Amino acid sequence: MGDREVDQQLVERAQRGEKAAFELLVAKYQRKLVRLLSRFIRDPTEVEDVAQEAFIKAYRALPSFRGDSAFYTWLYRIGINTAKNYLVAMGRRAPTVSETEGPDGEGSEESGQVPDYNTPENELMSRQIAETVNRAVEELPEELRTAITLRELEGLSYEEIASIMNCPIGTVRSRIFRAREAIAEKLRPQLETRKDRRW
Amino acid sequence: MEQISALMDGELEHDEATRVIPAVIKRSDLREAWATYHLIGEALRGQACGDCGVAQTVSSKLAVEPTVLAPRESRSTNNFGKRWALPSMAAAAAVAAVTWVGLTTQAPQAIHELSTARPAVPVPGFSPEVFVSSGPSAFPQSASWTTIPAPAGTPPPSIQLSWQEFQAYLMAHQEFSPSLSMHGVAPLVRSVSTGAADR
Repeated sequence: MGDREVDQQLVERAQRGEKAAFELLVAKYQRKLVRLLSRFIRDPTEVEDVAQEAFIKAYRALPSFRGDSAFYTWLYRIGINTAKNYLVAMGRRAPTVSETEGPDGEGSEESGQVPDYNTPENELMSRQIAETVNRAVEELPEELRTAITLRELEGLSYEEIASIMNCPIGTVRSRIFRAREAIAEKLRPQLETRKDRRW
Repeated sequence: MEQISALMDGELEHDEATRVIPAVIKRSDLREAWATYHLIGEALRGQACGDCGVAQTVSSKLAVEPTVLAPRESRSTNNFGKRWALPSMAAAAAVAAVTWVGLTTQAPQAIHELSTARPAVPVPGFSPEVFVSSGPSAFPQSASWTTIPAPAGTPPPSIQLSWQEFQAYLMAHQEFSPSLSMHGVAPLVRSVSTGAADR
C-alpha cells in the first residue's frame, strides 16, 4: 500500500468519526505545512496559528474530500487559502499565484535552506534534534546506516535498496526499522524531558 | 513497530496495512512511534524539525469539534470502474437511442421489404377478434369489413394480410409515419391530387 493510499485510509477512517486517524495525518504533515506557511508569514507564532486553523478547516471539510487528489495536495490548498485570508484580514499582502505554486515545490526548502521562521527556542530544539539524530546514525552498524540513508535521503523503495544491498526485501524492512528504533531510543529522552512534550 | 516503519514508507501489502492502521489509530504507543519516525525522517533530510506544537493544539481543538461523519464511498484499489463505468454507460445509452430512432424511422421500409419478399405476412395472436377482408380489393373504399368474434377457449388465431392490404393500411396511416416531417398533411395532399386528376 503506497503512501497516498495510507493517507486515504486514514482520511476514510476520520470521515467515519475516528478523530485519532486525522491526528496521525496532522502528526505526519504538521511540520511540512508549517514550513510551507512560513514562506508567507514571518512570525512563527502566527505560522503555527494559521497551521492549526488550516488543520481544523481541513477536518471540518473532510466530508467533501473524495480522494481525487492526494491528501497533502488538498491540505496544501487549504493551508494557502487560510494564509491568504489571514494576511488579507491583517491588512498585509497575500501571496501571489507564483509564490503558491504546487504542493511539491517547497521553494527554499528544496534548495536545502531552512526558512528562517524559528523562534530562538525552536531553533535550538531543531538543532538539538538534528544533532541527536545525526550522532545516532553515525553510531549505527554499517548495514543499518546504509539502509536508512538510502530510504530517507535517497528516497529509494525497499526493492531498490534490496537490489543495492544485495539482500532480501524483508531484510531491508528489518534493517530500516532497527535503524529507526535505535535513533528513536536516543531521541526519546530529549522529547520526553520537555514539559509540554511536542512532536 | 516494524510494520509501522514499513507502513509509513508505503511498503506494506494492502491486507497487512489494513490490519495495522486500526491498531496505530487505537494504541498511543504506536501513534508515538508513527510521529517519532516521521520526525527522524525530516531531521535526516535536514528539514526544520523544531518545537512544532501544532499537533498537540490541533488534538485538543479536535476534542471539542463535532465528530465528522461523511458517507462512506466504496472505493476499489484501482479506479477503473469509477473512471470508465459512467462514460461507458453514457455511450451505450447513446448507441441504444440512435438504434431505436433508426429502427423507428426505417420501420415502414422494413415492413415493405418483408412483405415484398413474402406475399402474405402472418401476425400471430394479435387480438381475440379477427378482421377479415371479404372483398377482392383491400382498399378501404371498396372493401367491406366484418368482425368475427373468436371462439372461447381457442388459441388466438393468426392474421393473414396480403400485400395489397398492407399497402392500404400504410396508405391510410401514412400521416402517422415518423418519417413524414409534417404530420397530418398526407390527407390534404391526397385530396388535392385527386382533384387535379378529375380535371
